[in-house]
Amino acid sequence: MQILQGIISGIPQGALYGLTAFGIALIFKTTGVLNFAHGNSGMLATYVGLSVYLLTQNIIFSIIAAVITGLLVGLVVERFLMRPLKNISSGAMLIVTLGLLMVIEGIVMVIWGVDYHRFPEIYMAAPIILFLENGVLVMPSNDIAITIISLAVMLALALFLRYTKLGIAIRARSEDEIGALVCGIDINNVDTIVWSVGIATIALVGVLAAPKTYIHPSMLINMQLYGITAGVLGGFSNLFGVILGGLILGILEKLVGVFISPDYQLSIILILIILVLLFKPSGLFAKEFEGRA
Amino acid sequence: MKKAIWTFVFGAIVGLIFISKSFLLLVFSNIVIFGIAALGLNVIFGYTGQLSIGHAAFMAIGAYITAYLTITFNIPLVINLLLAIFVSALFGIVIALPALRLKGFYLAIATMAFGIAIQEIIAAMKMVGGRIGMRDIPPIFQSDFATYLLNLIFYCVLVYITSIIVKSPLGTQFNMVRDSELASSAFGVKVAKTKLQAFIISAIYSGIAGFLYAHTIGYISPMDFGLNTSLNLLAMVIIGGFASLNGGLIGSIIITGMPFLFSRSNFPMTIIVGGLMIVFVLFFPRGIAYGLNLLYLKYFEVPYVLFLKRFWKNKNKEGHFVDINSVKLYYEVAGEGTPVLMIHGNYGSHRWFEKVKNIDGFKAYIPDLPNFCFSDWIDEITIDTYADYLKEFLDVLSLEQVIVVGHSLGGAVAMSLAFRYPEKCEKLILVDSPSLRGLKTPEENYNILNLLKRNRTLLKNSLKAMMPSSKDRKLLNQLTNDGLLMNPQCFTENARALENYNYEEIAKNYRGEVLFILGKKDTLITENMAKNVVANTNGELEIVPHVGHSIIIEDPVLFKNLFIEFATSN
Repeated sequence: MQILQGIISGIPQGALYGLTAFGIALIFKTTGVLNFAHGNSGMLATYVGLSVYLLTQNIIFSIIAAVITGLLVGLVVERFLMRPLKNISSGAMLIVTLGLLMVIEGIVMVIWGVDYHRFPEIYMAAPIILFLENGVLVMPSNDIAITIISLAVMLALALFLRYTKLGIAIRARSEDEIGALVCGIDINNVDTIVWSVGIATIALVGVLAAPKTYIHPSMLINMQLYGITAGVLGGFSNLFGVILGGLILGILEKLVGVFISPDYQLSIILILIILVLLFKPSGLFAKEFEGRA
Repeated sequence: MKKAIWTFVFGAIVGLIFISKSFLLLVFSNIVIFGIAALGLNVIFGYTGQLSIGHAAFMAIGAYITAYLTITFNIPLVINLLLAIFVSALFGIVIALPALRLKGFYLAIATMAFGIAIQEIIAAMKMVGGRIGMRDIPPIFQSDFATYLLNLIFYCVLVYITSIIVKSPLGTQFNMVRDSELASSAFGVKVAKTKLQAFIISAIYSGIAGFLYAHTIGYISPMDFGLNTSLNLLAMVIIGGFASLNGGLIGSIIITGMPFLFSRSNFPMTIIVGGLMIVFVLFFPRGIAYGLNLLYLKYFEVPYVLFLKRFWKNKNKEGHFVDINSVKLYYEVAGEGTPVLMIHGNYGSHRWFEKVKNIDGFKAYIPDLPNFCFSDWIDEITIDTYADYLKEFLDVLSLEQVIVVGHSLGGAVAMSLAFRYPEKCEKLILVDSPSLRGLKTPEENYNILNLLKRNRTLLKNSLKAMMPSSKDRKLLNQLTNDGLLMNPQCFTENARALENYNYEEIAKNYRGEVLFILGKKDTLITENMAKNVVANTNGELEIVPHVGHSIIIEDPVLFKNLFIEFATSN
């Protein structure tokens, strides 16, 4: 029963990890940049969402505002930072994104301060309780809403990538930059869209996770870590693997919390990353791997 | 060694100045401690090219070991230090394992995961205070100044050790692995072993930094060693100086020291640090240490050089001046007999022939070329112009036919003279001269050539390299002073002139005998270049095994013998 409860309460968390990982993997796969500023970009958008909520008291508006801010942040980052730097080495790019992480954190501290802010749940209702033969299963309704929203967004994005012309262009660019250019795909446009969509997903994750994590400047750092872990677990080259990786991670985390100790949740997950990187660096669901020395 | 001692002296003086301000001393200690950790990170990131964004974890390990053992068991500090080093090294091996198989972003993920995992594990351990941390760690010394001095000594010793490592074969292997793993393994470097060694050394440094941190600050918590600290360390290396000894300390001064400057305003440091990191990695990837070094090389010796030039130019001279088209050329004469014209090389002067000018039965004319040493400066800098001036020089002194000796750049001038005015040249002796097709200086070296005009030490070292087996330091000093008198433009333009000539066609004009003397240890002129000259003229090649670029200074007796043998043969 504990296992079942762990799995069920792990799924919403896992869906958020999956969505985070989806954004990171989308950008990484398409542009070749592993965005270490991903979480903080989303955090910035979440703060905008918070401001809108404080003004209008309307959660839907605030979510929309956060997602739009996410799109804009992605656009600005791509247009003014990543595009001019397209040809620098991956090591330098890594440091640039780490620097961006710090800069965004600082900007948020300047504008909104370092205080913790509450954020309302998206869907407030009584939790759904299932009475089974040997116990009860509790499903908070907000968690269900989170799960549905994030899975729906991921599904929509997956369909978008699979079937629309633009999605095909994105996939083409991620496979081969020159080849895509030859086919008449505007690489810069594709990159802008990918960055915007990627940051918008983490902005959504930010507002969805905000009721639990509260809003503060490092609210999404751990989320980003989990996202990267999910990406490693599932294999960055396979977007569905990434989503599955996120779900597995969410469930695993809850199980660790139940059976070992909540104190060790993060460290065990992190050791898991190192082990996966050591023994199956391509991830569980992908075949190819380029990051090997 | 020099660097470590200077750093120590400077640091100690700064400490003495502020000896009464215990808060400032604490800040300085902090700076030095993070300097040590950044030095450790530089070993793995700067010298070996393996990015680590979990380096604060090693500091945490060192700090917590000594704090726990001191507070709980009261174990002597020396044992704690050794244990901290040992355990850090062990963890260094652990984090090296993924690094052996991963690169780029994946390595960054693994090291970041490692860093945060260590932080979280410590935070979860109740026996070391969990998230609250440990308080009241006994200091090593009661006095803040003594603590600061101890930290400084640790830093300087580690800088010294690093300087040894970097210069050793191991350090070269680090750099090879950084630049290309494939190429280094082709050269027989064991890439995995090298990375492992680098990680262990790096981890030990950071462990020591953690040990010092715990005893200096007296309070530690997992927050002190989180992702932000790791990123700060990375920023220190990038801003201070990638792959430089004192770069970490310079970065630490900026990043650890800056918060105290801004402590009154609430402006977050992360904007500045992050922004600096981006700016530096894009525009100054070699960091402040490199910039400072460049400034030092460019400007530090300028007053000395200016003074020296004035003094040296007005010294008493033994030779005479001759006026050619209102350009005064300085020259010296030695001996009696058959006239010989001796032409010095680039950065040279008549003095280069000091040791060989007295040859029985020959009268040596040794001019300073225009633009060089005591002669006047001219604007047109080409090899042919130099040769034209020498032809006029021979005419003015009414010398009909001479034996021409040319060394290095002078060899090119001698060739130009002999090929274009064959009647003037009886025999031609080329000492390590460039080939008929000129001497190409790699484009990236021109900046360094430009440094030579303002820095006597660099010029001296460069000239020393041109006479590797010479031990005559007095002569070297005089030659260096002579070299500084050269027209400043010529420091680079002579090299350009050497690139821009080709005598393969006109070499046929000259049918006299040519002797090419080449030092086997010459790093500038290769055997192929010499063969190119000999093949296109009526020449022979003499290779001298034990000398470098300048046989005229390194083994004058042998040169004289070769000269007499060649000049008197028919």
